[in-house]
Amino acid sequence: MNARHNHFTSRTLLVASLSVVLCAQAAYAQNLWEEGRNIAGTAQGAETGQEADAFIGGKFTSGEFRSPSMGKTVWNAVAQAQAVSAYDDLYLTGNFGFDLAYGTQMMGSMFSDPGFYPVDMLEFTPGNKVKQTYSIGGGLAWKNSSAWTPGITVAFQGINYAKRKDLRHTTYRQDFEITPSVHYKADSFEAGLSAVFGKNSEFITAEQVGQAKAESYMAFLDKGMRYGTMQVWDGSGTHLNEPGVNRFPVKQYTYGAALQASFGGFLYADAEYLRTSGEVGEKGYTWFSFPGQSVSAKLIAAIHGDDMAHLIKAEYQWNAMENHETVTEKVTEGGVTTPRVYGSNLVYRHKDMSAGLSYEGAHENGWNVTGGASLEHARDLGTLMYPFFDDDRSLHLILNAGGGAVLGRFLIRANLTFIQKLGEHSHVVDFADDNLGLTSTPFRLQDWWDREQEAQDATRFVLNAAVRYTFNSGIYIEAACNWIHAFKVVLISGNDRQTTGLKLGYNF
Amino acid sequence: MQTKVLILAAALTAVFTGCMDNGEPYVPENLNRLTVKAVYPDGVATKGGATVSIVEVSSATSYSIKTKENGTAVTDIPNGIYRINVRDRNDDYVFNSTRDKVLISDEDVSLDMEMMPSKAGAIVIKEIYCGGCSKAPKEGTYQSDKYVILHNNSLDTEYLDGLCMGTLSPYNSTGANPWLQDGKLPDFLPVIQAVLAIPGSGTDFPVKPGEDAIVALCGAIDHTAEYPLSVNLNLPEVFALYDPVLFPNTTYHPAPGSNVLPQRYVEVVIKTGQANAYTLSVNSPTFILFRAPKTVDIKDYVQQSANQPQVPGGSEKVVAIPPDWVVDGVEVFYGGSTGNIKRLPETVDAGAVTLSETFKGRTLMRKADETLSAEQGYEVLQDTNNSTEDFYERETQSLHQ
Repeated sequence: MNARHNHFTSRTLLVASLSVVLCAQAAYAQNLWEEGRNIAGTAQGAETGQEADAFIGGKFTSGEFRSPSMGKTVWNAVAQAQAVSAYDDLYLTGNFGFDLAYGTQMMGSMFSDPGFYPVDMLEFTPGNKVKQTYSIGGGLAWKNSSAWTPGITVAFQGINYAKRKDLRHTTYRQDFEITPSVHYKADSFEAGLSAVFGKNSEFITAEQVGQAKAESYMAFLDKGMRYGTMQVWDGSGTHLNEPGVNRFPVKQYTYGAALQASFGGFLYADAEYLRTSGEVGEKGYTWFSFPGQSVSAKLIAAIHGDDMAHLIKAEYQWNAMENHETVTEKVTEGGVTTPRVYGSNLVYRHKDMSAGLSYEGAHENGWNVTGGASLEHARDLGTLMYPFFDDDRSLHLILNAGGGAVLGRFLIRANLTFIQKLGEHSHVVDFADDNLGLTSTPFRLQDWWDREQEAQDATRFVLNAAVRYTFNSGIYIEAACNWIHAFKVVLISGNDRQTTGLKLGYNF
Repeated sequence: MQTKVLILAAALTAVFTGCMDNGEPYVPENLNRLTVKAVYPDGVATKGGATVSIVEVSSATSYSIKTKENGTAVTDIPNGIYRINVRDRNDDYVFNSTRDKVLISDEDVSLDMEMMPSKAGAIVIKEIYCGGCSKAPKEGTYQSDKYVILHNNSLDTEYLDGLCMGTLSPYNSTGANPWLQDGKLPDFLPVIQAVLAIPGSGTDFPVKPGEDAIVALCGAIDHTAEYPLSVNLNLPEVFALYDPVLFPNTTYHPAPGSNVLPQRYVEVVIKTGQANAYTLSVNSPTFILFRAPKTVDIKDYVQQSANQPQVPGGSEKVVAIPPDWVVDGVEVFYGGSTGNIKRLPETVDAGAVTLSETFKGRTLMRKADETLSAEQGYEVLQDTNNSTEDFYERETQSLHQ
């Protein structure tokens, strides 16, 4: 669950990423249960057989419409394999992926996914960074003669992220999720229940090897809305070099449940509730705690004609997260220093909501068209220094349209997304009490905040296109590109960001 | 039908709007009521208008409110560990009361603050320069140019002869203070490393009202000859700390310049430390001026073992100075840390001035009292025995040309 979006990318971009080119024929025969988490439900709707896909590829990203946390240029090398085996009594899935990314002129966030947590740690010396992402997962469902089908999926991801130039850092991330599910079928009615348990953790270790004074390297601990502590990197306010801890550890637990139901194979509904519980610190030190929750719901209608399938989808997502900063005192007794935590203060609140409608029409010959619209509403409230507060609200419209076609051995897909701010981006900055003689406001990394606001509000479009050629043997080669173009940006150095990629795969 | 659709739309809007409401920025349940009562000494009437300063220790967020006629101030504040100071003055005295590390966490707190009277000093510390500067245009940083400026803040000519000075243990305000027992400072001031004194027979070094005296704690030389961002301490009016036997480190204590008079060399009354140069914290020293009563010979006093306690948990000895011997003192906190701890009691200095960055040529200066200066015709500096109020951080050393 992200506390805030990375406004330099778009959610649509992530969905219609370079690595996915949906086969239009698969869209025609789509199993609606694949929209949800319930592998037991997916298993019930799957035809027997095996399918696997493996590919290696590379991509290159460049362009100045970026945050400093994104590289000026980024090279990726990717290897991925996934397989599905559907038998009469068992349904098995497995996947493995490796992504090596090398970025140049990167600085800013030391986290592998900036914005995922409600805190951030920034450094300010541009340099090259390397990120290795390993992912592995699988699932199985046991189809038996009863109306009940159990299943389970497991997913693990590990990330190593490092910078080799002072202020250098090494970041390790691990993300694990397990989802046991059960599916019930009675004639044309199907229902499912999934439980979700997950843990993710990320540790940042900063280090200075060179001879320059420590004061040469500053770090910024962002406590929400780019308000926080700017200090020499090993100062006590950043917690990067806390005696006894020596790293910045974050962990988050996720638990929740999802309900699914389908009627006659043409109507599918899905509702999910997740709670998260996170904290920053270890070994007795807890500097922040951040609880959160999310609700998501989907309603999909599938209408099959003679040779066309029509999918109409309504989606809703709501996320909320808070960041509490603890009151901690170091107490020394008998020469031993231990931290004591006395309560906390709420310093940041975030809520976002999106609601959208989409349509997909797929022909049995393989071509398809898609279109959709969604509204995204975000609200942030910063309360780092009583009685100062900063209330930020925004509303955006996202439109997208696309399509794909099969022409002989060629598979072509393109998608265009348009993002527009609606109304004014509201900022209310004030003091809840004028009688306290407070003459200062919390430190804000103002230039970063201004650039990120400009990126969030810039009218922009995202174009994705891909062409795949499949040889007789099943080997395919695919070229893809992605282009983001923003209009009327002033603070950000450029209007464009583009990615081109090539992959070689085998479908068997 | 249309009505039903409108009602549904309104209900959905209300639900969605409610889901996006972050609530009020601050609600009473998340705040704590702090009640501070100023308790004046017997014979001093309770009154309003005293300034209550509330500083959150880790973030340095500072609030300021006034007491009402009954001597009480009330406010709501969030959870935190606070340093609370109340200060007031009348025609005769300055009143201060400080409580350090007041924990306020999910409950209301009431404090009775005993207002301690003190008199504003005649000789005060006008400037303390300890943070060093850059060696620019060369690489690196420089801290062998530390000095203190004293100022006569009274109507009478004062004599510096025999005025003692020193820095307290612990050297820095960050980290633990080994002298704290149950959160309380000892009833003496632990002067560490050495006790220094202005020489003289009693009337050798007069300072007229409004005049200054410079004490070079490191080299009394023209540092600007090699490091332009430093200062020139090769001046005839400088008192120079130069003792090549006790402090033989020539990097910090080179032979004074030709303009410095040998009769103005600062005496080392006693050296309890082992360093080969006088140690003054670069980022957060305390510094006091003191005089023993006429009935006490300071040289005898410092030699007595009862007056040389050992630093708890360490091997170094200090000299225990009674607080009422203090003429003036200043406490410096380091802006690069969120864990500064008080070392001076509130009767000496109820607050602390913050040095935000070291090696930038920044210095800590006492503010001028413009009104009194205009009335009395010479520079009068502000002295409330609270360096949070009395001092400010200046961008460059006052002696930098």
